[in-house]
Amino acid sequence: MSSSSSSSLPPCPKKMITLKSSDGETFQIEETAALQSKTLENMIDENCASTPIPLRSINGKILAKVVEFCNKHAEVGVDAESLHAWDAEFVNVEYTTLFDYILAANFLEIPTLLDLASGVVGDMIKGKTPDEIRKMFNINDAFSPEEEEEVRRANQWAFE
Amino acid sequence: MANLPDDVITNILLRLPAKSLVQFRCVCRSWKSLISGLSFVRSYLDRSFRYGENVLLKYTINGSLGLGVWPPGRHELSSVDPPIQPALDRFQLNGSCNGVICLTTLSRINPDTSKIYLWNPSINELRVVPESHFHVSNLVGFGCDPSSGHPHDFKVVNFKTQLNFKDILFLPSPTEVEIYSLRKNTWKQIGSIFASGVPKYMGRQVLFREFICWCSYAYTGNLKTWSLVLFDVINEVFDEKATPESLLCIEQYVTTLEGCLSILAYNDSNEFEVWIMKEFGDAESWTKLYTIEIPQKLERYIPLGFTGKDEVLFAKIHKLSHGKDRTILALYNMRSMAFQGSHLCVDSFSSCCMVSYAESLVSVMPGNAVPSRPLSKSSGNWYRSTS
Repeated sequence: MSSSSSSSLPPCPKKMITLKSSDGETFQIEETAALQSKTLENMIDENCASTPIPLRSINGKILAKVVEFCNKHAEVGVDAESLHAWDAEFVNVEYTTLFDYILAANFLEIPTLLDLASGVVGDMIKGKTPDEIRKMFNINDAFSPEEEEEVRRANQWAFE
Repeated sequence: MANLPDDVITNILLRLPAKSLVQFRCVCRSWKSLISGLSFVRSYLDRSFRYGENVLLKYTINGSLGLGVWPPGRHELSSVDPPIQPALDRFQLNGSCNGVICLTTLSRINPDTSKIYLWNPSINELRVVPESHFHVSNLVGFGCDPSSGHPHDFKVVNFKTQLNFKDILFLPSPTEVEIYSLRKNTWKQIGSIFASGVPKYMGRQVLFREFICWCSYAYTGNLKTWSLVLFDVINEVFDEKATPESLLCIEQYVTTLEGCLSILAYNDSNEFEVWIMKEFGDAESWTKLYTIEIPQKLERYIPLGFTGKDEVLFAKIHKLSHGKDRTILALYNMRSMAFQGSHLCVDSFSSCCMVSYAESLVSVMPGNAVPSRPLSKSSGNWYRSTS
């Protein structure tokens, strides 16, 4: 901000809110960027955002990335193409990290991040076998071998 | 690693192709019941409609018949395996609803062997409709009763007629009608329609809300009198409405456009007039939107069908210098008013037939977990034309 023009009003200080991760790290985020999260928006509306907001389900490493995502998407004047490229780079991570992004975006209700990460996971699992899916999603309620045989027979066409 | 909650899993799975989802029924109990659940099936269908429908095309190239799909992006046509290998005279795509296609095979030699099928190509399910009271006609209507809330509450309309293998079918007056309901899995006769009048020609159907609609004409002397025939799938009654009073109209085709019932009227100035019925059911509300001009006198355009996304599949017939024709199929977008996507060169328009359908998990075997036997793969000559 230029201070040479004495006639103009002093710049409005940016409203910041503080987020606290499960492992005690704190992050500052501008209110305008935080508004992409419906959860945070509600807290701001109810004046609950003046003290650090504890996010017990999100660790510092992931919260840092989520803050980075919100900041990028709140930037003014970014063209769609470069934002798209930035997003692609942002989600170019291991699926376990993507799951963490999804859980954080789900908790904080950030639809852009949730859609982006869910889309990438969708693309990832398209060609996987049920076995690979079970490992990836940590699924325990698998069929008994007999049941599996039967379900598989009923849906055999899709495996051809 | 934490497990993802169900709504998040749902959100991921809704993005997958139907074939992957059929595979993923085998992942575990909860995924199987999620993917088979009515709410997932409905959400998946909504998403497919937003994304755009596939165009399924039956065509003849160099004398051999084929079946192909244009995906929503309208890139290359990919050939598909037909659900049946009929050694029958004719294979016809009647219509589609909620991703399920109604098709018939008609036999000239033995009309008793003509059959109606319901086919969901996305999940490879095929159901033979039980034998009807009348012979299967070459005009079969298809729709869904939305009042029950089940996307598989399909109904099929069959007309009692002399089996006729010309492309033009005139229904006698009066015409007896029977309805098949998938939920009841039976046919029911509902009496006759067109009680007073003359034989009626009926064109291709379009589904609009719970109505199956056909453009129809009858001859009054030498004059073609056009009307719109509507079948209310919920109440199982027919109705007739006036079409726009377009002067000197040669042909009319019914479709949907911008959420309204629409008519494409070919007039004697070599143009297609595009009309919409702004208030459904009110013949006073027909409004002409614009005209599609045919660029050259050397070409003829014949609409073969319409997609849910305001597109018309035209057969463009070019007259070549040595007296022969060249027929190209191409999709015209009525919003952008331009042809788009790839083209297909075919033998003749009369051998072609199209239907658009959404990728869908809607089962034609409701209540039956085990689908039909896997269909044998075939390539090439699945269909023999009779000579």
